[in-house]
Amino acid sequence: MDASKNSTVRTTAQTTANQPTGHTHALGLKQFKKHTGVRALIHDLHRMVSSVQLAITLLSTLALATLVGVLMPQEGLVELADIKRQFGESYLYLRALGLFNVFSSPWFIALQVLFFINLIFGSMLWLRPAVRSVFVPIFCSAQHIALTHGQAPPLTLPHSAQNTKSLLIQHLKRRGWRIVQDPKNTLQLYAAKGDYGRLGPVVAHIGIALLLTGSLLAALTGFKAQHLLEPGQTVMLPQAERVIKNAPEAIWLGHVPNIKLGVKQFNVEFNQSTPQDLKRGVSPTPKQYYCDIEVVTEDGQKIAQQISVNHPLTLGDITVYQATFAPTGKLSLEINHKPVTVNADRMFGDRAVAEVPVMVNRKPMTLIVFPFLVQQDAGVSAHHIRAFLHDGQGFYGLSKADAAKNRPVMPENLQLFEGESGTLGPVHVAFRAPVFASGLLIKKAPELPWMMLAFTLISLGVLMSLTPQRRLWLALQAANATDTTDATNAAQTTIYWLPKTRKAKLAYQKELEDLARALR
Amino acid sequence: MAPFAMTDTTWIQGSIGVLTAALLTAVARWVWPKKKLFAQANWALVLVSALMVAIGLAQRSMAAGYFALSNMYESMLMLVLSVMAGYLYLDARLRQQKFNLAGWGWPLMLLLLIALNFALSLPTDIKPLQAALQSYWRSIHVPIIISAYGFFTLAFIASLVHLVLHAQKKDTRLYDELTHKSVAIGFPLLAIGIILGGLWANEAWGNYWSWDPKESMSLVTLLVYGAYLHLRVREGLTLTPATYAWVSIAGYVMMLVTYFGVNIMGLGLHSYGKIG
Ligand code: HEM
Repeated sequence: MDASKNSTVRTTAQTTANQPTGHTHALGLKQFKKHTGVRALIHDLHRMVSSVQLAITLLSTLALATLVGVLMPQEGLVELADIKRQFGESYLYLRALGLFNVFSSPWFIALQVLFFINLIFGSMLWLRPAVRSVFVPIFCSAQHIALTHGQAPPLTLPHSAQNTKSLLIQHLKRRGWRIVQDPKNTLQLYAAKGDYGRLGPVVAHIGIALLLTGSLLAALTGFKAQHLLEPGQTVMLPQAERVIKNAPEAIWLGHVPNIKLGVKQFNVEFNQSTPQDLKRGVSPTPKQYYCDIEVVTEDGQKIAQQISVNHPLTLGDITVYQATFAPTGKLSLEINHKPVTVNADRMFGDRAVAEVPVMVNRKPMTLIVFPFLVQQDAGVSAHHIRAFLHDGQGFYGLSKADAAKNRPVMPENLQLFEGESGTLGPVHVAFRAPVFASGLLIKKAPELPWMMLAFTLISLGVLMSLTPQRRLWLALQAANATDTTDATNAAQTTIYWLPKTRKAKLAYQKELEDLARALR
Repeated sequence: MAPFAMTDTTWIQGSIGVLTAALLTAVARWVWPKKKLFAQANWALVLVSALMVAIGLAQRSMAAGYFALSNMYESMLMLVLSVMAGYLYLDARLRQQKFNLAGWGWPLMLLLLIALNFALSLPTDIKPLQAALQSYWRSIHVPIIISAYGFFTLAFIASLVHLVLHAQKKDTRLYDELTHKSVAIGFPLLAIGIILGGLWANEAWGNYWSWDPKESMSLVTLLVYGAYLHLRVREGLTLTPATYAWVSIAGYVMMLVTYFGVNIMGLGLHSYGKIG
C-alpha cells in the first residue's frame, strides 16, 4: 500500500506545482482520493485490472502461451501415442498442465477472459479522456505554457500581439491545424492536428471488445456439423455424423435445426501433374470440388444450389461448405449401354476390384474392373479403369494354350479413362466417373455480423492510429506590457508554446522549428 | 520468343546488379553524410531495383495466370519489394523533414541483396494452385501480410542501428522514432492481413481461426508488436529506448519464425480443407 500512497502524494505535488489554481490541467491529471482498508484494496485492484501494464503483461503472456502451443505437439495435430513416446515419464505432468492442448486449456481461456476484463476496465478509464481530448478543447494558463514549454523555445516577433496572432493562425491553418480560441483570453490558443489518430485506438479497442463478445456468442449458440454424402444420399442435420456444439451441453443455448441435406451430384476436378511428379509418384492435387446440393429448411423451403470450395451456401446464420471429399470405392459405368454403379469391394491379390455379373450370349460371366484413381494409386495422373472378362474357368481372350504355357500373358482387356467407352469382346463398357462422397461442413455462426463489424472497426482503428495526434497550446505576450490582454499596440510579441504528442516527437519538433522559421 | 527475352529471373538478376550499386551509394552516403548526391543516387537506384523486381513478379503472374504469390520464391520477391517500397517512402519523407538517415541504408541494402540471392536459389517453377488457394482473398490477404513484414524489416534494421548508436553513446532518438513509425505502419497491416485471413478461412473452410502453427505464429508476432506499441503508450514506465529496440527485435524474430519456420522447419502442416 505504501507505493500507492507515494504515488498519490507525488501526483498531488506535481499537480499543484504545475497547475495554477483556476485552470484545468493540460495533461488532464486527476487527484486521486486516499482510500483505506477494503476500499483501498478494491481501488488498487481496479487500478491494476485497468492498467496498460497489465495489458502489456497479458499480451506478452498470450504470445508466450501461443508459442508453447506451436512448439509443443498438440493433440489434434499429432497422434497421442507419438506424444507419449516423445515425452515418456513427464507426459502426464505436461498433459495436466494443458501443454498438449494449449488452446483449449483452462489457463489459456482464463488468460483470454482476463484480457477481456482488462480491455473493458482499461477502456472505461481512457476512452472518455481520449474522446474528450478530441471534441472538448482544454485550455491552460499562460504561466503554465511558459513554464513547461520544454523543447520549444519561445519565439519573439516584431509585430503587435494581434498581428502575431493572425500570422500564427494563418500559418497553422495552412499546415492543417485546427485552432480554438481560449474564450477567457484573446491571446491564448489551442491547436490540434491528427485528431483521428487519437480516436483510432478508441475505435480499435471497441472493435476488439466486439470481437471477444462475438466469440462468446459463437461459443454459446454456435455449432458445427460434418457429414459425408454420396450422390443420391440425404441426411437430417441433427443426425449428421458429427455435430459439435461450441460449448459443453450444460451451458450451450443454441438449437440444431431440422434441415434436410442431400447431394445430387458431386465432381472432383484435379490439377494436371507434371511428368516429374508422376515419376516420383506424386499424385495431382484436387483443384476444385463441385457439389450440387438440395436443402429443405425447417419451414419446408427447398433450395438447390451448386457449392464449391470458397463458394458455400448461406441460409441465414447457417452456412453449408464444401469441405472435402472421400472415395467411396464405387464406379459409375455403363455396361451394354445400361448405367450401373459398381462397388470395388472384392480383393484380387492386394487390389480392390469390382466384380460385375454380366450375361454374354445367355452365359453368365464376370466383368472384373480394376480402378486406378488419382490420389489413391501412386503415379496415376487421371482416373481410369482396366476391365477383364472371366467366365468362371478362365479369362476371356486368353487361349487354353497360352494359359497352359504357365507364363504370364496378359489376357485381353480394356483400358478406359473417364468418359471413354469401348468393347471387350461381346461386352460394351463405358467409364463415366468414379463416385466420390462429398464432405460437407455445416456451421451456425450467429456471431457473423458482430465479427464483421468488429473486423471493420479494428481495421479502421489501427489505420487511424497511424497518425499521431499533435496538440499545441500557445500564449502570446506583448513586450513591456503590464496587462497581456490589452497590449494590442506593442511592437514586439513573444510566442510561448507547449507542444504535446505521444508519438513522433522528433518529427513534431522539426515541424515546430519549421513553423518558427516560417513565422520569422 | 526473342532469344534475349527477359524472364522473371533475369529481371531479378538485373535488380541485384542495380541494388549492388545502391549498396555502394549507401556506403558512400554513410561515409559522407553531408553530400546530398549520394542520398539521391541511392534513392533512385533503389527505385529502379524495386521496379525491376515488380516487373519480374508481374511477368510471372501473367505467365502463371494467377497472382504469383504462392511459393517461397515469389513471396521473398514480394517481401523485398515491400521493404524497398517502405524504405523509399520513409527515406523520402524523413529527408524532406531534414533528418539525416545515413546510417541505415547500407545494412538494409545488404540484407536485401542476401534476400534476393536467396530467393533465386529457391525452386522457381510455376505450379498449379490448390483448390483452397484459388480465391481473390489470397491476392489481398498475402500481399498485405508481406508488406507488414516489409515494415517490420525496416523496424528491425532501425533497431539494430539504434543499439549500435546506443553502444557508442550517440543520439538514438531518430532511429527510435523510425522503429516506432515502422512498427506503427506494420502493425495495422499485419492486423488487417490476419483479419482478412480469418475471413477467407471462414469462407473457405467455415472457420475463422483454427490455431494452426502458421496462424498461431502470426498471432505471436502481432502480440509482440502490440506489446511494443502499448509499451510506448505507457507514459509512467521508465524504460530506456534501448528496451524498445530489443522488443522490436524480439517481434522480428517471431516474424521470421512465422515466415520461414513454419514452411522450412516444417513446424506443423497447413492442413487445407481436412475434415476432423
Ligand atoms: C489485441 C488487443 C489490443 C490491440 C490490437 C490494441 C491495439 C492498440 C493500438 C493500435 C493502439 C494505438 C497505439 C498507438 O497509438 O501507437 C492502442 C493504444 C492503447 N491501448 Fe490497446 N490494444 C489491445 C489491447 C489493449 C488492452 C487489453 C488494453 C487495456 C488497458 C489496452 C490499452 C490501450 C491504451 C490505454 C492505449 C492508448 C490509447 C490512447 O491513445 O489514449 N489495449 N492499442
